[in-house]
Amino acid sequence: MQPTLEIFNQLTILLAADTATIAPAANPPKLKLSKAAFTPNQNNVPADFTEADFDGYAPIAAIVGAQNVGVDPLTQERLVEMKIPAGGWRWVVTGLTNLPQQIFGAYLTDNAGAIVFGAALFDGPITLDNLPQVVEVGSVTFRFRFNGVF
Amino acid sequence: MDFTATTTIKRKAIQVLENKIIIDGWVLNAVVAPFSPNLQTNSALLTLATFGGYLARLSNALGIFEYRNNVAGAVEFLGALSSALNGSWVASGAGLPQTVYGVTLVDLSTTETLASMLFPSPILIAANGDGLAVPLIFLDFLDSFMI
Repeated sequence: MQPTLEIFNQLTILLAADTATIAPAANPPKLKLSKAAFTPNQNNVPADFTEADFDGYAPIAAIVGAQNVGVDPLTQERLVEMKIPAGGWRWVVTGLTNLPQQIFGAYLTDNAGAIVFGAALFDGPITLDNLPQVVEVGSVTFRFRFNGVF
Repeated sequence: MDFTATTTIKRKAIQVLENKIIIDGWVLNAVVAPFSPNLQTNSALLTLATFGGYLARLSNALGIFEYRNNVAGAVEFLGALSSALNGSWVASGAGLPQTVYGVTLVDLSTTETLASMLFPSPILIAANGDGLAVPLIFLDFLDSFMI
């Protein structure tokens, strides 16, 4: 069947509020950085990533509870966006340990780090070799595509 | 920044949708004027059947949506008939002839149109006794439904 926008609206609303994955009431997901190359795909597991270990780095916890939903104004595609925590998805190098270090992208896991929910590469690796260099992820977005349901 | 969703997230999205449709219930309607199924299809754009013997099929008569993998590997979300008795619409009264072009799936609770489809060709219901099989309805989710 040809789905309507209502199907996609419901997919986003329901996923954004799903307490079993990205919207728990406690112990929220965490965003992490990978210091090794990886290929984002639907089968990603934690072992696909090598977590960053520069001074100042720690996984950033998401905000508990329902996440944001939205619509891409250009494509009308429906989006689920993780709410941005206080201070943002932002890491600042605070020391020289383990530098230089390349950061290839970010990945979102459950709180325990056992399940990967999604991953994304930066446009190119980011080389950290001094302080106070910064790595920032503007948003953590899941996008629904119209042509994937019929 | 678009994140590539893992299977965990994709399947969860489908499962929560499935649960909502089961809880809300759903209706299958026959459409008797030409239409083009698309993202914006809604009940205001459709002409529903009115011939004698026609009734919109409710989920409690048709069965529930099920969640499974189809043979091609896509995740499939299926509305199944529960019995042969519910498997057809047969004309038995006034309002003929009518031509049935397809069906729509509507959320029983919200009344929002969820999906629609055309038959391979329109089906003419010309006289009492004429009928058509209520189709199995599917929503197939390819891996590409999420980045």
